[in-house]
Amino acid sequence: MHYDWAGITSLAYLTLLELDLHEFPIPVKKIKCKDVLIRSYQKYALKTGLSIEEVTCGYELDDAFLLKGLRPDLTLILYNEEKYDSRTKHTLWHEVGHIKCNHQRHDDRAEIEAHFFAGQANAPNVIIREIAKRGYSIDIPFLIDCFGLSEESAMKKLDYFKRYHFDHTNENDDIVLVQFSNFINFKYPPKTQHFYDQYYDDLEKEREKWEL
Amino acid sequence: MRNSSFGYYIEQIRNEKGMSQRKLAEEAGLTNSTISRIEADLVKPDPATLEKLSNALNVDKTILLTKCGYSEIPEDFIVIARKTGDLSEKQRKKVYDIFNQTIDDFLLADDEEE
Repeated sequence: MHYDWAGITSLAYLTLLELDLHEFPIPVKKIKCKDVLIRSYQKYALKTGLSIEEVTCGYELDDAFLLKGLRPDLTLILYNEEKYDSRTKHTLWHEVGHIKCNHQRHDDRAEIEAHFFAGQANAPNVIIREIAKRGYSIDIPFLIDCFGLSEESAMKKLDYFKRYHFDHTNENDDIVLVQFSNFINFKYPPKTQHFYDQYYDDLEKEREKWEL
Repeated sequence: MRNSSFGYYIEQIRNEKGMSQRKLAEEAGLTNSTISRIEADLVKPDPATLEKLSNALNVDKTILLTKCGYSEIPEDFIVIARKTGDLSEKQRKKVYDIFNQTIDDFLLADDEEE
């Protein structure tokens, strides 16, 4: 099955740009999506007099779910605000991913794409790559501290990098870096002056060849 | 629950439009008593009556039909969640019914800023 990983990454990055976010971890309340109402089960229950059991269809819809087609132009994401933050964030990004990827039904492919979107919105590869270049080691404690990931999500992210390293680039990498540059510079200043050495090393090697 | 009933829904829309029951009856070509009984949830209007109400109140007929319990789940109604693959059609209908009956009240009461 073919997946457009670059396209999904672009959608995640464009969502971060659209929301005008500038630092990580992104608080739950700042996760939004244009023309979509994102509300908690608890709020929906309070405003309508329903019980949480009714809102979640007898707890079948435990974490969050997406509703479309109830009313013209209404898309609603409802989530359980009593889950811990890191899980809620991944879940909300996941639901936003369904919208951004224009999923019309639930199937395995839609789930995989939404998970990938959530992974990129929650902890963009381009930010991790930039911080690694500055001399920081990318491990589970780093991912938890920097992006507020759960340990499970951090392990999955690390596994991704072990498999694919930092080879994947995206057309929106530069603009995402600019948007989060203050955050990166403040929290992760270069540990050495050689953080962009690879690029200059390559140039230097080229130059040495010319001299020979 | 009265504030999620069809009669209350009609009453709310009529009030929002600044119409009296008499005025709505005139506009819809119905009797004053019919409007009163619908709003009190004493009768369930038939689809033809709902069409008259939708024209008089300038509300989508489909919404009135679904609010009144006539319609099946609309084709474009989507529920996506981790477990929806396991939701039976009966459960899907249940989700639709619950949210179809409450969404308008929620939207009116929702005070959260975007």
